[in-house]
Amino acid sequence: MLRSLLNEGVDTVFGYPGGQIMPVYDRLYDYGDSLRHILVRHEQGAIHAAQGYARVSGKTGVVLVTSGPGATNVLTGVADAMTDSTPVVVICGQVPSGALGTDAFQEADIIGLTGPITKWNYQIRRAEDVAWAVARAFHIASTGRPGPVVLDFTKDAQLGMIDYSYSKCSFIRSYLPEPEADPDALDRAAALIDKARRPFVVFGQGILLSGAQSELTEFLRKGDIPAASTLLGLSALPSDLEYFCGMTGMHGNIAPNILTNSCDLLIAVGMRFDDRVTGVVSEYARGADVIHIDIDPSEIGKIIPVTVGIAADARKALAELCKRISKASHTEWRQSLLKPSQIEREKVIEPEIHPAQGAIRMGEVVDKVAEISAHKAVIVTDVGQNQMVAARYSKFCEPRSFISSGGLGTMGFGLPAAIGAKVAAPGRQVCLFVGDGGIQMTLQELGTIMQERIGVKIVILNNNWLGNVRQWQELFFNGRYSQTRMMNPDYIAIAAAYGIRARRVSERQELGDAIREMLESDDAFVLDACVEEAENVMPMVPPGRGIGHIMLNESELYEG
Amino acid sequence: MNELTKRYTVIIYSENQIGLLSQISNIFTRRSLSIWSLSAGATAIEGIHSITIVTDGTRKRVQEAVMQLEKRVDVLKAYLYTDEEIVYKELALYKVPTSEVIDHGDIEDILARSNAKIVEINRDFAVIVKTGTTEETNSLYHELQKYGIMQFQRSGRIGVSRERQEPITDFLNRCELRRDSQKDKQE
Repeated sequence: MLRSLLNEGVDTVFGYPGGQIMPVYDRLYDYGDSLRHILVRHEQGAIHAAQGYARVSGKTGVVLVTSGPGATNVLTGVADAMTDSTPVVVICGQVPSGALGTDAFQEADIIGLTGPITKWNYQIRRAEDVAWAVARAFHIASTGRPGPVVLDFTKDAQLGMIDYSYSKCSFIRSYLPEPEADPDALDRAAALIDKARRPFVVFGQGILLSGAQSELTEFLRKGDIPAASTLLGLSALPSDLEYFCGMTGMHGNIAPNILTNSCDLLIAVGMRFDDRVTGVVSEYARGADVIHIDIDPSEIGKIIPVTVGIAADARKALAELCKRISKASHTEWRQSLLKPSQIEREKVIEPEIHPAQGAIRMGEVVDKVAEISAHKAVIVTDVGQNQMVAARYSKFCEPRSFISSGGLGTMGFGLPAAIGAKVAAPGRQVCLFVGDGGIQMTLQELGTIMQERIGVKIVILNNNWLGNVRQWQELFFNGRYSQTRMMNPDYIAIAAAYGIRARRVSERQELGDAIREMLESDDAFVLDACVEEAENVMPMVPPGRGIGHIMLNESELYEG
Repeated sequence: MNELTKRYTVIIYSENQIGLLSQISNIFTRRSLSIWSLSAGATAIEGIHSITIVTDGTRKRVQEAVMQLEKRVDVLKAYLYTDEEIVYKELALYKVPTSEVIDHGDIEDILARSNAKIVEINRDFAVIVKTGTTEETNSLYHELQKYGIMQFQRSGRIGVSRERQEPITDFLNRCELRRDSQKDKQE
């Protein structure tokens, strides 16, 4: 097994030992030079770390855990990797094949449990199958639309002795990872683009996964087309690119949401029309023809009916389209986004990042980190207000710099994912934004940071609430704050217990200094930022409304 | 038209992988599509299995499920048919008391009319077999009720398309071409 991992170019494994995986851990003892094993504190930490690692590096993340509870503890992360198309291979121990189905100690039906949340799973019951299964697992996890693979490895197969040989897998007849774009569809799409007067691009993580950053930029330049990102597409284009107009969706920027409904052609690339992006589907991009490019044919037409669907790799499809379209100019159309952007800046952004008085605001912290890190940091988030604020106010100049749990929205994702991100990019600044709720879901991973000396910067946006739920309770549940008030531990004392440097900041004038101290530190650092307790993330498209229905604040709607 | 609920037959060709059947049924249940009948078995092509599922829903909904089925790595291909697009049958077995069969004296007439036959008979019971559509096997059931049916079993539907060739053959040929071009690339 370990030789197979090395054959796949693996150098880092996140894991936790236990009874039914002990033979593998025993061999690992001799592989210390070539395989770095990061011992987490809970298996959920291993899978999220592997996800963070995969998202930053583009390589497949690897997880090694034991059977039963070890394996069930990774399920949340496996489901998360499935929704967010993250390549990970999970190897879990299993009871000996003769004991399968007998309710043996630490036996769980992992093949049954992971079926709906994996791209592929397989139970290895014979040593002869190890090399074949590992080769297949890496091929499947990393190609096409990436995703998680689980290998359920029985103990007798771990102990079996065979003549070992390895060959990589590059072909499975029942698996077509990368459909070729239909030339006819490309021609029809190009004709639509040439004809469009108000074309608009919305792109997702598919750009990062296929490495299509420069193809997308070329395409936007030639067609003179404004573009917006989904949450997971962030950092695919530099924030200051003139064609980039921000993030779409529930807490997205106003201009891209308005443009979606006023464009006459929507070009969606490497994204899947999540409901947090579209709002009410029947009101989405009503006046527009839709071109949808995605590598997964089952996504095309699933949510939004398309005029032209192109099932293909985003990079190749964009390059082909770019060849086919004529050079165009849409100055007036592109200028139409200035007004909504201006209103957002005045009504929302300025008061958020440069408030005159009151407690520190979340956006202010994110903005300061972005400024002081010169937009170069890898930003990792947890889920909730911290995530939306980090997405809104971070700036990027390099791809694969925004790591967040999008589709599944897994609280507790942030801290371990930041560990994985830092392991993947030790030379880069990795900064986590996390709420006081989410950090307590995987707080134990501070132990991993301590033991492995992982220099992640942890910013707790601490408002003593489960902030996002509190916001919904205020706006949509008549201010009935059911179970959202948090009594928090002393995070400085907790960090100290793990030997991690920490600082609390509650005064505006100290904020810049505290962030500088954090970023200058080579080691891990916890910044406990005491922020405004009752802050709401704005603008907001309320649930159940179209994306043209934008709240600027608690009492004011955007009027275009 | 898309919104009409109709009966569909989905024929799935797959590799013979453990656990695949439960993943396939999950894809239907997750989308609240009922599985009215299911039959599975080996095809004439070595190593390839086929599963036939009858469901109902709007074409869009069922088509979505078919796309998800094809996304499973071990599924080779899934085809969606309306009743008009395939020839389909199911098999029904009826166990009735021999004494009643003799007493009524009309069994030959019934068998001839419904194109059924007796496959086993002894002192106690006779087993009648019939192939046909659900409606046809139901209708024979009603007719035999006067004998007092002791046991009744029905299989899932199986079907073949009205195309000239088994569609999967074409698909497999294309797979082999892909395999060859992949090899060329590597060499």
